[in-house]
Amino acid sequence: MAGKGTTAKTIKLRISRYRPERSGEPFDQEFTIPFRDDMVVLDALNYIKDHVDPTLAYRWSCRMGICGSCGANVDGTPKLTCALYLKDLKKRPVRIEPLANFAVLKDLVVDIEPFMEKLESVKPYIVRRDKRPIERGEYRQTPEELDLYRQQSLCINCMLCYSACPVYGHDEKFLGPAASALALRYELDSRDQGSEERLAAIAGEHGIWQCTFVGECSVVCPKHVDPAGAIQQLKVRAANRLMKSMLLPLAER
Amino acid sequence: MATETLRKPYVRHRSAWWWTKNPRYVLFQFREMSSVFVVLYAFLVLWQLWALRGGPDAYYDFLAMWYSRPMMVLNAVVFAFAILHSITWFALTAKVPLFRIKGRPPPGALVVGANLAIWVALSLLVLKLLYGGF
Repeated sequence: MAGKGTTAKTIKLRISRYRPERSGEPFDQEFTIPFRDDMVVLDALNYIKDHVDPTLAYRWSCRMGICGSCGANVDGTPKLTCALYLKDLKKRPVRIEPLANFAVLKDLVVDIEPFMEKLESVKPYIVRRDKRPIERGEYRQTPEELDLYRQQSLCINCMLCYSACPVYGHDEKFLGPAASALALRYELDSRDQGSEERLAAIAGEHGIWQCTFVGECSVVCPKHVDPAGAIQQLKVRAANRLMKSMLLPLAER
Repeated sequence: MATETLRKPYVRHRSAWWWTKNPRYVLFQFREMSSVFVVLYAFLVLWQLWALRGGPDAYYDFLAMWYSRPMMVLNAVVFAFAILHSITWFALTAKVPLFRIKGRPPPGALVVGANLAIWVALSLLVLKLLYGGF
């Protein structure tokens, strides 16, 4: 980045640092680095790590918006840092913080364990009551059946939606946007039979009914999964299920 | 796991003013708050019914109060919140596709538009019933 063709243009970044082994509190540190129009926020972080301060900690992997590792709050909004051009940001310095609503482990690295637990709780895989031997081949599905859950299946677990969700900020036990969207993804899958096993996580005390429909999760989602919409669909399903169980107690749900 | 850890996860404090940081959070707070005003209006209507029960004099006293400037201002505020509540509520209907057209959920704009249109039509009908032709 600092090689041939670098112009004199520079950009100032203010990055939130937290070094558990030294200071008790996070602090801000400013960096002024060379800047080109084709640089994304992640390029700037990589430049700092390579040329200015190798102790800067942040997560990244694919650089193409599919691994879901590089999320951070940039100027207060949760973003994939690999998909956000510095030239598109108006404010200077550019403010980079760890994703909101998660505990910080170091600099921009947050503790994703709470999210992983929520993800596990909705059993994000096909659950079958009638397990059949692998020799009998795969469970088949038509393109139309796939279309039903395609949108929710695009989730990359980047957790931007959790950073944007004030309900999760208020109650860390809330199932939250992405786990709910993935729950719906399997609920809508024609091959799945796990509704009964997911019910407690989805519609329990810390499930979908906590959602007050702020809608910001769907605004920040880089994959247009629309978790807010997914949660509302789960609410309709849960309500229908309850009504059916009251009106037709013996029917199979 | 019994592994020793050097982690010291830092939990950040959320300011009570978190909702002022983003215009969409502000709108959300106003939408939530609008329910308070809708309930307030329900109590005002109950009060009106109570006055009606008190006979003509009591009701005229009530009307004098009802058309006073502070009550007009209060009604205007309640009306504004009721409109906000209704519009934001109908805007949510697009998120819950209850049926499919040719295997696809209906377009969101169509669902919201149809709900708003029916709401406006019914409101005009009520106005016509109350105040006659216009």
